[in-house]
Amino acid sequence: MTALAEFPALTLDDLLSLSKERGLSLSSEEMGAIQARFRAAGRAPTECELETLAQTWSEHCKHKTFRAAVVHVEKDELGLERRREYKDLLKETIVKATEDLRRPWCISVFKDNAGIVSYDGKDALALKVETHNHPSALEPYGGAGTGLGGVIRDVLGAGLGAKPIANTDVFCFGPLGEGPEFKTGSGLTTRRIFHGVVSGVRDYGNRMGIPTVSGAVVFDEDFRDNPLVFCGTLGLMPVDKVAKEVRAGDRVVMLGGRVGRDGIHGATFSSDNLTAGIPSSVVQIGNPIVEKKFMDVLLAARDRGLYRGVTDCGAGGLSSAVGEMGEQTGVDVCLEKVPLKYEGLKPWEIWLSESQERMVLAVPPENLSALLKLCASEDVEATDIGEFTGTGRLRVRFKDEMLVDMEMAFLHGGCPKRRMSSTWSAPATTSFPQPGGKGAGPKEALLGILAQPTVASKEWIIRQYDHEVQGRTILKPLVGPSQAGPGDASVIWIRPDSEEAVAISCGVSPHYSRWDPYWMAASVLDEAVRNLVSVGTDPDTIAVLDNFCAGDPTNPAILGEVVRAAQACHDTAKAYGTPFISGKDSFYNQFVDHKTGEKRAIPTTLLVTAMGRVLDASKLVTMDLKKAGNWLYVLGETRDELGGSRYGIWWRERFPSRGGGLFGSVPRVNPRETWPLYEKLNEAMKNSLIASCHDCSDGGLAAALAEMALAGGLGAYGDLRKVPVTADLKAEGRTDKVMFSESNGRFIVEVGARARREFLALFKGMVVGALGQVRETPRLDLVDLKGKTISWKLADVEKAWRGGMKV
Amino acid sequence: MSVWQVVVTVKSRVTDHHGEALKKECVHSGLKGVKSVRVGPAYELSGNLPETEVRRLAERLLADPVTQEASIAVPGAVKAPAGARLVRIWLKNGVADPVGDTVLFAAKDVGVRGLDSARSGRAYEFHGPAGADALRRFCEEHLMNPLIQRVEIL
Repeated sequence: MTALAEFPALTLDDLLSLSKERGLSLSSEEMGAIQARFRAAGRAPTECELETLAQTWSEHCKHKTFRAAVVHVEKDELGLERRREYKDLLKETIVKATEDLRRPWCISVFKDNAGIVSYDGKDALALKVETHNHPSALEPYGGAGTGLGGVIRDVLGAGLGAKPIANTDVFCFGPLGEGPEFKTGSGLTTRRIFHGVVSGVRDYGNRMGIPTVSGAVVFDEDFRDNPLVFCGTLGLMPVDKVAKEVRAGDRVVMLGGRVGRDGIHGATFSSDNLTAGIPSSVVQIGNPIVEKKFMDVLLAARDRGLYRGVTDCGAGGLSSAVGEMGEQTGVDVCLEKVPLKYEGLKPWEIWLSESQERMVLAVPPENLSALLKLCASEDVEATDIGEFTGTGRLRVRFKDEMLVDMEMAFLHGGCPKRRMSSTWSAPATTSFPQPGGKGAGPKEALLGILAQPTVASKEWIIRQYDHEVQGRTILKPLVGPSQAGPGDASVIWIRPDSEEAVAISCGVSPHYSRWDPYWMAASVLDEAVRNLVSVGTDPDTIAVLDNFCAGDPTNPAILGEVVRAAQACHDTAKAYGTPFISGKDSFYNQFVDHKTGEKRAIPTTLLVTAMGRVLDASKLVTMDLKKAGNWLYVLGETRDELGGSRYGIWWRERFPSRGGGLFGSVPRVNPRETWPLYEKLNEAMKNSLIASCHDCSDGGLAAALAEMALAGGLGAYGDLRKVPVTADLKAEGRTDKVMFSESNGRFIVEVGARARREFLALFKGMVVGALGQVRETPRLDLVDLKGKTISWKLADVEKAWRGGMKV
Repeated sequence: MSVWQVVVTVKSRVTDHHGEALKKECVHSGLKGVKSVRVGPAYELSGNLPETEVRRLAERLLADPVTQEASIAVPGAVKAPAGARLVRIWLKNGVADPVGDTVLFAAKDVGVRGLDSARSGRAYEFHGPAGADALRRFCEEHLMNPLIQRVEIL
């Protein structure tokens, strides 16, 4: 045993230095708990034991922040202080909403590698979204590729394994460019990171034969040094393959690629600030062909019932995967049996290596030879590396040397609960500046907003992804006759003999966080749900998934943002009846410049990924305008909500000298108004009353209408005086606010002449405005609040939107 | 034990799209004097390999016989043609190389037994009077990630 002989006698300060020196990312309190445990055992820990504890207790694996006890104090805009104590942040917010909702179709939530819902009683759907931010900042191609590879394995390791049927990708980058002013903290330019990430996701997803169907990209200065890379996978599995177990006597089998020195310390590295001077050993490069091969074998073995339990080897490598699987039983592992890429790895490196494309199975001894034979027949390496025991201990040896020998109870239950404090104060905001000045009218603003890279066409990215493979994609990411319109949600067909399908979408609006993370989170959830409703998803079947990204959570102001966002997730999910089924968090998304000591953190960002059932896929609705002469209606109320809006961003870039600070109010969500509207819209779609539908989000109503027109290749006329607005907005009479407000819960719908009467009868008593009509002439005409017509040529609108993202 | 370098380029009558795109990037980023660029994959193969075997690998596995051609050399003997500079970008040792692994695997399929290791990289031929230092800076900023790759300029 390599004993750290002096460990039991170290002071807390020494322990903390040891944690830093070895890159363990453990706090002095956590190191103290380890010391107490080993003092009681009368010995020092081995190097491997310390590393195993660091991996298992890492932020990445343990979610220490979300599981922490938090004392939260916040001050509203009037300065009134409120205090709330959470014993366990996650349990009392996101998980609580799911528990309270008691949806019977949620069959495995917050416990497995992915959230699993029953699809129709026979099949189940597993959904997971992961982040791979730190690795992508350093090596974008490898980082993003292995991010996607990892989430695919999560779904393969959910239950007894789900077949991946769709991928999603959401990115946040700094403004694109080359040259010194676009250099990021890792030394690469923003454009290099962007190209690397897109091609990494493309190559991994395409080579695995999984369609990438849904996504979003945000470009903002806030993400220059800390790009965010979210990759998601949707999987399909028989409902009787959801339960898994591990029994004493089962063999531990490692499946897939060989082990090298790749990505050592990935889990602890992701629990630390990004600094310059990171060693290349943290970088992982994926090999999708290896993963594709074992995916096929794994699903065949699943159907033959050859194994009882499975999990993926992700962060922490074997130490996390084996440690997790053997939690209830105990496990013995012989590391000399692990196949290596090359000689010279130290035992602890074998144990912790994050070499990609590996899974760990619990195989009943009587099935071992059949499994190994099946793997050999498909050219997939599988190795018996140990046994699940009944001892309740984790024992790892390399030949005769015992490297780890400790109780599972301590490994999984010994990490002291974090006690944290958080604060939030409503920031001072000013009213939105008055319009005026040359080139600052609504006409220029609409073109300017459509050309913002975040809003502009993502066709360059989308076309690199195969979104057709497997032949299930009914609604594709780009829609309309020229297949260029930005669809609200993608729809995947599950079974050939059924009219049902599943829709998937997302919502992300990090810029709202600067105003209020609560309304950022509520808006994001509403957007994800609204996107699904826009295509015809039954609102009552929607399940959602959260991904939080933030800076250093030990900073109370940053944790305060997270707490507020988590509370909004609870409140909104409960009001909507949309349970969270799984989630993930990524902290320390901040760059520390080692020369100046300056810390640059991202705004707290929440990605909500949503899925729901479409009961009749023949009634799906897309967002492209369909026919000249059809009527256009606005559903939902427009309020004075331009805080964090695309218009606000355009204004700031256009007139940097005219408005500093935060202006306008951030969009809020009022479920009591929006939910009945969503249900009604779904009913109208089921009755085939809606020809096209698009939700109003980035760029508001005007951008939504412009997108519908260019997607359909048809013109549109709209009268902004007919848009339902709040009394104060009406009194103010500002055209720009009506055009660009990003109030939640709104849609533009197109209704055919014959369906009009029935549509109006159905929506009686709801907030509906008769906006205008679809026209043949390729022009967008909007009548402003003074009765004057603002006109755009469709070609100009299209040029701005298509050319906005300069790759 | 012998070490070989194989560089695959598109045939002269075929348009080198990657090369043309890169030339534009040179102009865009201010690297002066580059008249043309040729780009292609490079491989470093080692093992008990006679030249005939390396040629077989290069022609049957590494290059597409319709559009590409392969050149073979011993690493130390590679020289830049007059008026040009050669750039090789390799993955650093220890960084996973799935392309190299696949070459190793596929070599067996084409009947080449003596290959012990294969590493993949990119080869560039810059024509024009761009200086070595400027070229190195350009490579580090545009063509590689110094965290996982190293560059050779000949």
